[in-house]
Amino acid sequence: MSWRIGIDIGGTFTDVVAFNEETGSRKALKVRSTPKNPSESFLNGIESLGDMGIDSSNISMVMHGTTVATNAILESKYSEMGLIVTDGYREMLECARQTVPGDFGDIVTWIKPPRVVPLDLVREIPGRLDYKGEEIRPLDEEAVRKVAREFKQMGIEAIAVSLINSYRNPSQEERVREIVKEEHPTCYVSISTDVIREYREYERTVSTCLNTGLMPSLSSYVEKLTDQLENTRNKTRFYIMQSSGGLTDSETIKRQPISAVLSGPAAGVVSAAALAKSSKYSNLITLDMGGTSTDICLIENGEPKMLTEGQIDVYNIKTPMVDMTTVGAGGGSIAWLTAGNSLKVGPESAGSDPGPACYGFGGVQPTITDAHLVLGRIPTSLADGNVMLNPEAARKVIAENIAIPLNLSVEEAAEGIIQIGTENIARGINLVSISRGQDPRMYALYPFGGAGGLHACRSADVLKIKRVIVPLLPGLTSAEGLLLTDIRADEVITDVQREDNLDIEKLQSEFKIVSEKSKKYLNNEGFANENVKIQLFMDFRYWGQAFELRVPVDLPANAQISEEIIRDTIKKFHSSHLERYGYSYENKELVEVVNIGATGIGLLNRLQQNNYNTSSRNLEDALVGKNNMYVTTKGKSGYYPVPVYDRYKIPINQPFKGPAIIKQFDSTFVMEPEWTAYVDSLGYIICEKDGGNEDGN
Amino acid sequence: MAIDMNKYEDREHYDPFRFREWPRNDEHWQRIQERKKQLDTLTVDIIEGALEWAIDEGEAVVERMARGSIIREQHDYRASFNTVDCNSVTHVSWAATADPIRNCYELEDIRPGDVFIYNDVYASLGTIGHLPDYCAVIPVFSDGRIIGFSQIFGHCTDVGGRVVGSWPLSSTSIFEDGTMCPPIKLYDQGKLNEEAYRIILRNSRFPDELRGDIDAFISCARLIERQVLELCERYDTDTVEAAFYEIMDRCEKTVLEKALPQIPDGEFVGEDFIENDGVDRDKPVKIKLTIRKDSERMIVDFEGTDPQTKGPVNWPMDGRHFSKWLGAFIKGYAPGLVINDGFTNAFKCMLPPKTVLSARFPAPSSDRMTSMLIMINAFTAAMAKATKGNAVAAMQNIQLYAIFGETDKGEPFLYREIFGAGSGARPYEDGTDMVDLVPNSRNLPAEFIEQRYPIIVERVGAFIDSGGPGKYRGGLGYLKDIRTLVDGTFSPVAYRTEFACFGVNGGKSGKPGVCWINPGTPQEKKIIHSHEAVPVKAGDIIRITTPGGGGWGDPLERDPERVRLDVQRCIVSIESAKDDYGVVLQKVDNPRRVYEVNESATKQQREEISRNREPLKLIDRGERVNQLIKEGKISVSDFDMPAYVYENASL
Repeated sequence: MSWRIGIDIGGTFTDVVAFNEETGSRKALKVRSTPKNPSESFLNGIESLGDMGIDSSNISMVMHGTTVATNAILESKYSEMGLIVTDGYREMLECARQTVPGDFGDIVTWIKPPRVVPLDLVREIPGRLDYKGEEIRPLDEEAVRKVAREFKQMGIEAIAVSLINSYRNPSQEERVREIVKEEHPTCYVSISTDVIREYREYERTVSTCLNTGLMPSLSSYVEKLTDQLENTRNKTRFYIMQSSGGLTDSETIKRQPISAVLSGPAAGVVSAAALAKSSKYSNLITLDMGGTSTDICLIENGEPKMLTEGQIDVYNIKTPMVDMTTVGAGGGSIAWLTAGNSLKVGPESAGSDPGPACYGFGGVQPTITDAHLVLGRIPTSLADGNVMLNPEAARKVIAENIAIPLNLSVEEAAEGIIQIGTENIARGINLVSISRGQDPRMYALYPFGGAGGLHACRSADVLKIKRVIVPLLPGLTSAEGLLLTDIRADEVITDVQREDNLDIEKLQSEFKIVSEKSKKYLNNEGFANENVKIQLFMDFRYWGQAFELRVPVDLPANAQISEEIIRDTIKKFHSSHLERYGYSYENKELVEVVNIGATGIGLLNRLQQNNYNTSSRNLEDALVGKNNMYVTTKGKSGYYPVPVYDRYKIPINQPFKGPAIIKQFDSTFVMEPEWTAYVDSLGYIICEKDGGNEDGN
Repeated sequence: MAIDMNKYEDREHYDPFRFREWPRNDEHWQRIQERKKQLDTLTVDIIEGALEWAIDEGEAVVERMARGSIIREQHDYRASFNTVDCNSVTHVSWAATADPIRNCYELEDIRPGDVFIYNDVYASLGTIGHLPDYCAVIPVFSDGRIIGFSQIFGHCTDVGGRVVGSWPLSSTSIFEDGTMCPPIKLYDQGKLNEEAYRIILRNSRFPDELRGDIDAFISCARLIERQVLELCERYDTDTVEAAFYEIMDRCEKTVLEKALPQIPDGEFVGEDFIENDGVDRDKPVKIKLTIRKDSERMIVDFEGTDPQTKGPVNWPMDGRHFSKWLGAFIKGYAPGLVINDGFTNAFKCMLPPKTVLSARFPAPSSDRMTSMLIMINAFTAAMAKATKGNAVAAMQNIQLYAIFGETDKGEPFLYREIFGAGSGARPYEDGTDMVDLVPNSRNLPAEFIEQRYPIIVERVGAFIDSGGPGKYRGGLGYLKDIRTLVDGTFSPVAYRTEFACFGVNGGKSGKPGVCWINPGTPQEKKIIHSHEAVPVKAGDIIRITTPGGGGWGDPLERDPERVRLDVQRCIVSIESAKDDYGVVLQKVDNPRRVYEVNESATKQQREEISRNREPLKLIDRGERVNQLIKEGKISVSDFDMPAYVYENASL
């Protein structure tokens, strides 16, 4: 017996999906997240599998999606760190790129957010490389020692190192790391050339700082998990999802925690895309609403958009990632009043610890979940009774914090909280659609995560989207996504060469190094050669331009890299440049090789989607009761008895009308008035208004 | 009091608000207006979002494709979409509208596939200000008619003229500034006019860069065209065109209903000075304006501004253009407001003829940047009066420095960088350190500079004590040391080397920004004002500092803890802490804090400063300007105007 496990830790719940590699059977469960010590809920999840008959010794592989890195950045909870830079560059983070974001004139009102390392923790050291990587001035090792000791005395446990022109020659940075480690052995050190070996000192430094700041928490986190997994008799393989949607091993994440900034959300998108491909609804806007935030991604023809760098909070981070927008609106988002008494929701979240007031774990601020509970939009017990909710506690915090100061009824206040939360989500949907020239009305909304179903119809109403599709296990979509992707190993060597002076032999040996490295990596991970796919690539730019384009290298089986193949690849660079930017400088401008790389993919066998079955023939079979839900229809508001259905007992292809509450183990879906839904033969809830989208999507 | 608008019709005393107009009376106009009334908000939102997105996407193409570093790294280019009657619908809309195209070509002579380009300031109908700004304009056809123009301008590296980089500082005629290209069809119905292109490129010192830049502009304009046509397909042409006008109406409405009511009615004068015009080196040039505000509009009247100059600081535009430029500085009253041409119905700049802002052909204009920036500050000074001191302090966030010569291989090079500076303090927060006025403009990475030019960047950082002291401190300017590895020429285009950024409501002026060659050595040489050519030798260190922003409010009211932190971070000196802020610090044995505030000494020091100082000014213009005022060489209306005192000191 061997089980493959996907574990996704969200802010509120930890989702576990187990997949039997031999029989194809599936099991799923949820445990409460423990944000103060996320490894605890991970282990709780593994232990709970035991209760379902899956012994930890039968687990062959664990795939993990984590929001530890994301949350640390969003909440500025990365470790305090020191930064070592080249003499003369102390204020590098202060200068940044001298850029004011936004529109002309915003310089007057813009307030710069705090820097990732405050100026009082930046130190300069003498030593300088030129642009060829040759030493102009030697590294002052004594100065490095002094700084290391000073940081140690200050109690700083993480140090980032970013030296000018190191991308050409990492030796000075490597030496700094050695010395710092000698003086301060317990300190985490990250050098910029390990994070991104590319020119542009500011961007490289910021990514290095974030990487450094994440190292202490990510390392200890990953170590706890691997220690625990090693206690099992089998050698369990352990992988973590990267922002790119590919999995990697724990050592890589310890060194490069920054590649996990979108680990959790990427898993959800992979899953939505895979499910979208298998249904006829291939244009989706995902709405992954968890406890702390909502991630929104546009999927066109079954493919999510990808970026080579992205924005997390105020930081530009250079690491491949799925293109998504995050809005600070989740089930645990806190409702609050400004000094002028205007109602705001988020981005602060109560998470799951203490969580919403209604959870009874000590939450004293009103959250979106409290508002839903007060208005009868969610049942009082969640996760098969594992979590009991307290409506009185919810009423109390909403009354005290919002309703009384604003002179509103508790219902009006709760309704306002939900409306503002919905507007925030709609703005995020705007960002991925309208702002990019895409009409959201041409897309179906695809809610998942624990709270996606609570706001889906509401958000759709705001944007006049006419169709909402709810997957079978909305609360477990990300955990499932972990089981739908492959192991990925990227190896890159930076070697800038101009096409009029190519060193083919050097390129050949570099290609050999990167492909063997990634192949060896995958072999070590247990992939036989027939399950290993190596894709070579080169990054090029026109000489004098600042942006590189990645071009795959087509290498026929058993062929060697030759000058001809490289010339062909340069030709492909011209044509993909033309395709992407509308022009090419073929025969006009010289091309520069920037990076040589290989992506190794270790192919895993996939989860199969089973046909959906339900024994029910009548809708009445699914009716589990009525909730008094606060409904506004035709300008009138009040509590009405609204049917509550058990998701898994709703018969296939029988339409029913909203308002209704559809309850299932892992989430709740609220159908607003004027919406009609049915469950299709694959188990999706297809929920439509006015007959669905015009385009027949 | 209602503003008398009749006087602005007097062509002897005022130029027209807009040089030429093309009021619509075509067969489609009635229908489009009807459609506009029926538009639902969401459709307008979507079209507006799609247009803004098209502009952003188009600009992203330029950033990747352009060759010149001023465009690529410093984002000195703007794209926009114009209606057929040449009104800008999208957000970055202050320049280079399609007006000169309509002015030179009848509508029936404009055809699908045409691409227009121009850089001719005086043939641009006041839409561009200097010759390095090349514009590309594409007519957008849908349903067989022109529904508008996609256009872009960008600052190209070199368009010929007297000096490398086409930015002479002492030219006396536009013919010295560079080569002029009037509006022409570079592509006529899709066919490139290779010969015209050859003439244009032959006149640039860096023809490859110029071609790359112009090609990038055309790709950008085509991308915007494509996006607009997609909108026309998704909706229909009438709806999209109607939405253009609705988007502009919304802007006007927001200005009238949200922004203007926050500004008191009345008349408020503001002044500021350009150090000199580059030719008459001892004569400051005054920009003076009067804000006239009533319940229906805001007029900015430039009567009293100095006449056009011999040297190249002229900025020959029309009032409509200036209105959009200044509009950005009242945007703060309606957060999120997008300034398009709708704005100019409620906010109008009016120019007397032949001033430095309304010069006549062939006045030189290569260095009009200084006028652009000083005008903003004159406006700020007037706003400080209108708001009883609740306005941002002065700032000068663009200056330009170049080193040029030959590499050791004999290839010509031009390293040129636009530098930001400190922004002015606000009535609620410090100014920002080292930022550029142009959104998304970026400094050059040292690792880029060193790859491309024979230069070592030895230091880039903050200019200590440059921010004007105040309850809120002005932002800090730059201090950058560069070492040249070859003999060459240094050219600083520096705008506040003597005339500081003024402080507001008790805040002090910032420090001016000057340059040095080999500072701290016996050969040290200080450089004030702009210069076309300062010779430098291999191994010389060139130090560039840029001005700090003005401070806001009484420095003695600044939170001592903020002063302590500034000192610990080495951006304010311990002496300035004591002398300017009255904060006395003492060293402590704690690596985390270094200093603590000596509270009793601070109290005493603050009392003493308060007793002995002159009354705080509403506008503090700094040492050099005050000296010239006292000598009678220049004059301002507000020299003795006292700062407003607020009982509750924390606003």
